[in-house]
Amino acid sequence: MDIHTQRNNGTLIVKVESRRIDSSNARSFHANLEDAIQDDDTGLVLNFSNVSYISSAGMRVILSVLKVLQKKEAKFAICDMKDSVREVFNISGFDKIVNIRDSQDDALTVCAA
Amino acid sequence: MISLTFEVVGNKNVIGESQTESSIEKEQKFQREHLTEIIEDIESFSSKDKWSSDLLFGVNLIVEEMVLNILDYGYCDPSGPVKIIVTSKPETVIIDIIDQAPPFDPLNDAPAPDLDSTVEDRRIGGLGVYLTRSLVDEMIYNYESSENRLRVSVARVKEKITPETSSTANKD
Repeated sequence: MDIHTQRNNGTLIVKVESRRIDSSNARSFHANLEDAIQDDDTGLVLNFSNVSYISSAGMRVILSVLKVLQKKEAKFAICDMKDSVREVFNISGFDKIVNIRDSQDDALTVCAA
Repeated sequence: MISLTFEVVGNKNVIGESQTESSIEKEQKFQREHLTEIIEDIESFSSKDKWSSDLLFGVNLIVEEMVLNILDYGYCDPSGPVKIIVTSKPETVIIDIIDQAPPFDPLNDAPAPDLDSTVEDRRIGGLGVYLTRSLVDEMIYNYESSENRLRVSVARVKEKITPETSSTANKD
């Protein structure tokens, strides 16, 4: 899966280029994210503006990345989420463990805090 | 060697009910890759049948979660046949999923999902089935003739319950 990365004051910003995060690409999404995250990153913002579909395979990746980030006390936020994707986060109870923000700037503020 | 049967049944008219029923049907020694093909077929079917994006999202998720469940926990390895029939009716879309794995009732046999634990303790098991159950309007499971038969229905138009969305004209 293609991702686009940049950094802003220690926060890694990953824009997901794929429109779907499902069982067919979850493994490569996970591998690419793990490769992108560096030891000195203090936060991760996932930009979901292109993502219109996520299944439990994708949620599994989010949870496992979240666990890694929490261990190293890094912040995490997801921005620009479409309603249908947001609904999956809500149903799964992920809205309680993930910072969900409308804009990338808001997400960066969460990670800078 | 994997034998692959691939079957697509196109539009068929249901005589006597004056309605058109369209279905996509596939039966295979099912592998994960085949899911991608089926999802693509459902997408093109949905645009011809004028589904809303929410309806497509729901049907897509239900098919992916239920089929993966059969592959990962039902058949394990080697895989077996899975038949998926998507039937479009005026009010609902019905998804039939039939497999020959050992009996598994997603309504009762799936582990309860973990929705409240902290990040550290949270497990993801059971989430796929739980998501499916949250999105369907009706779910019926039967085990007969050595087959798991699951039928789920999704309403074509979801009632919007949030009052804000149905704002009436302000006469003031």
